[in-house]
Amino acid sequence: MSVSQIFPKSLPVSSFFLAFRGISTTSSVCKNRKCGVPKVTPFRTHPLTYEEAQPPSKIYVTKGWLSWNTSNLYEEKRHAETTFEDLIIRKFMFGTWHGILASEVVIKRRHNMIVLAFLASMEHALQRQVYFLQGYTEELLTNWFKCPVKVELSAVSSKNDVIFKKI
Amino acid sequence: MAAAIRKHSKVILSRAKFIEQNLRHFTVGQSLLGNTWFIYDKAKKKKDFIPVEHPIKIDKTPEAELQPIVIPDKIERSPTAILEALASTVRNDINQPMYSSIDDPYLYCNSDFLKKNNMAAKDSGRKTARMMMSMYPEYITQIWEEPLPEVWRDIVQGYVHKEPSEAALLERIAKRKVSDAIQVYEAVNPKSQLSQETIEKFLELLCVFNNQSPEIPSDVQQFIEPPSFIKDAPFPAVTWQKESLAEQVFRDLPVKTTAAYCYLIRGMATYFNKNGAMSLFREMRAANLTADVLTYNDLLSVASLDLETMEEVILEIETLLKDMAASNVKPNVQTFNSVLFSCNRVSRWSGCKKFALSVMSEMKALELEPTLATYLQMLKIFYDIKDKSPKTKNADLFLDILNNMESKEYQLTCENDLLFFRMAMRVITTHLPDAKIALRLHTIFKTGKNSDLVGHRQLQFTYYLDLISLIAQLEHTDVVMNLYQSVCPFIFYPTSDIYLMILENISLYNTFQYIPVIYTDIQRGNYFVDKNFALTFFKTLAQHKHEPTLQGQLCDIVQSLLAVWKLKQEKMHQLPAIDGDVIGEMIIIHLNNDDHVKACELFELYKHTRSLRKTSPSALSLSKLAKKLISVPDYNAAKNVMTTMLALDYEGIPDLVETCLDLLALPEEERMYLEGLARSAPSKTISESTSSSSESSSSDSDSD
Repeated sequence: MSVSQIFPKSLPVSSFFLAFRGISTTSSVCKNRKCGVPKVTPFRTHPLTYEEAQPPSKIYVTKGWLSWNTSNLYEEKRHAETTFEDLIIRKFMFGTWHGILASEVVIKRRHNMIVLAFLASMEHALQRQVYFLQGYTEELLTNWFKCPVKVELSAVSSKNDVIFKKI
Repeated sequence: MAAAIRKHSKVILSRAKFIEQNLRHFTVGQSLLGNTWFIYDKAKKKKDFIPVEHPIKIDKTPEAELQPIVIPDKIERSPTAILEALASTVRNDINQPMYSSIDDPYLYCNSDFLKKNNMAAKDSGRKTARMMMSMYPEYITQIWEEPLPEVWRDIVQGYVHKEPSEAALLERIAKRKVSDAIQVYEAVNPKSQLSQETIEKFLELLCVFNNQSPEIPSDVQQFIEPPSFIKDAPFPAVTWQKESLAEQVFRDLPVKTTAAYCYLIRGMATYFNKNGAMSLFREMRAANLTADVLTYNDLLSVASLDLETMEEVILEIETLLKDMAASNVKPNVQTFNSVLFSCNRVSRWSGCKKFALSVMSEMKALELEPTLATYLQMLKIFYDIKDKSPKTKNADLFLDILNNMESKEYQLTCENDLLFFRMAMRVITTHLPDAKIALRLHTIFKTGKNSDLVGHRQLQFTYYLDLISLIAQLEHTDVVMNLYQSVCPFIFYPTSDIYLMILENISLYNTFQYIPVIYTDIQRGNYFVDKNFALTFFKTLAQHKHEPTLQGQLCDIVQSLLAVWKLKQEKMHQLPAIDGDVIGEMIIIHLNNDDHVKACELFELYKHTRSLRKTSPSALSLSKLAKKLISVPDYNAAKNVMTTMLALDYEGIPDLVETCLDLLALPEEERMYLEGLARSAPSKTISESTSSSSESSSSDSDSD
């Protein structure tokens, strides 16, 4: 059996490689892993938090995940829905807690409950502002996602407190 | 047996013996082959063999003799029984941050003001979110087309029965939606479409909520706002709606049952329509129907309204009670509480107290255990907290109540129970100012879960405020601080007045070891922003010279506050009120610690900071500093201090100059300068009792 018997001539050449692609013998590009590693600045002035400083390859080695759910386990549902909701939550949190967020938001799903854990910088925020935003976030997201949403934050005195290193 | 086991011996054991031998301490190196043990070493220690019963007994009973397995009856338990049992195995420290606050030291709510303020902010956030959702409903919609959870179904999709029908009415009654239920009732034909039972349920709903939709406050709102005391008003306004739908529904009922009468009477009595309730009750009795105990209780609670003499009140109450007895309705504790509640309205009338005592004796005769609400009404009748007359009240009744309550745990039976502890403490502070009685009440308060019965945040705050303000004035510091440490800072955060009382107490009993304990809490509460408070605090600290460790701690307090002051200089937000007066007291505290370097630094800080020079350090503090510097000796610093004293027109400079000239070998130029200082200054010597240029207070300083 020749190749021409398998693929008619009308098919593009790329489909030939696609069909016979097996073990790659060239060096790995790893571009998806590389894009998670921040670039070094000329004078090493860019501050990074601990979470940002660890490359994606260190997930579950020196750092955890930012979304905790079981959607991607075998035969579980709502893969895309969960990811999209997490995206909305992150956008919402970045805008609502503007200037206060001192870390990424860790989104944990337990049963039907969503728990948002993050660090809040108290440098420019008063106690009552944080309580206001807590009530606002919980109520709005609860009504939006139709499930209980809880904010469990920890406070730091300044964003400087969460700098792990500068690159 | 043990003695017989030797090294390399072979022991054959039966299964039972094998298990017995397991109790013995053989050394390692045993091997078991079947039931044969090879012992390679001796037993470590000879032990007396104690035969034990075989733990595994295989009873080879013939099948005919087998007993049937009897499964015990199921014990009926509440749904939370297991949780309660588990909770009873652990005990938490109750003096911990409020549960609803964010669990972070930056965000804890200590003081009552902060608790209220932060929770109000949270509630405000929730309201804002609801407003945003109502303003922009198109943005915040259901994202996925998946079935909603049951709780959301009502909110998003509305009622199951949308058309007016009996089922629709029952659905709205079950959900306590008064206005929706009224709409459905008006849309249907009650006589043909609704059953007697459904109409009675609807009537009950109308009577309970007074024909209007209730405003259900959120949990946070309930926490913020104090409880309503409308029911306690002596002459409450009638809030029952006249010619309301409830009365119309009652009139339209095909059969006027006992339940229907009871619902309407209770509704009228609850909303203070005494005349309507009584006339309906008479109508009910005329129809030869018997009211239930709840209805009688509500009628008794309004019995004293619209009457002019105590005799009429007693007659009204006794008539109802006799009617109860004639109808064979057994009274309960709430019945007597209602009678006392009625008496409370007319507690200033003569004869009321006597009648209340007779009610209590009747209650005792019926072997009914009084609840907290019963005691509350008795306290209100006998000890009117609004009565400001100097006449001392008799404490016997109060002590009797305490004796009855000793080591008892109470349950919540009605909302008035929540007011007892706060009222009792207020009675003590107003009429019976005795720390022993207050502490006895507090012991009862701490018994079991009685502390849960203090109810609202504000009631808890006022309870502890009264208690600690009384104890701080009358008891030794050990007692005060014991109580303080059990409730501060999370359950109760004292006000600045309470701290001033505690400082006085510490000063009186010379228990300055407690100063570091309270300093942290004072600092957390930012009470040092009050100038008078800061000055009083540091004056207390500067009163005596203490043993070195404690004095070192006091100096640390000074340095700590200065560090905070320097940190907050930039923002000027909640800046501690430090000025010349306070600096003077701080200098004395450091001099008491024989630390003239820090004292000098403070003096230099005062000299070079403009904001501190609003007031001046006391003459005593500068004089002490100058003396110390002369004795060290540090002539230049002493000269600076003396020059400042002259600029402030303080007395005592000649004495200091004389000491300086005697002790130090100075060049002629300096001696002439000092003599010039002495000539320019007022000559009177500063006494130890003169502490400040502005305010004079006694000082027992013995630092020099």
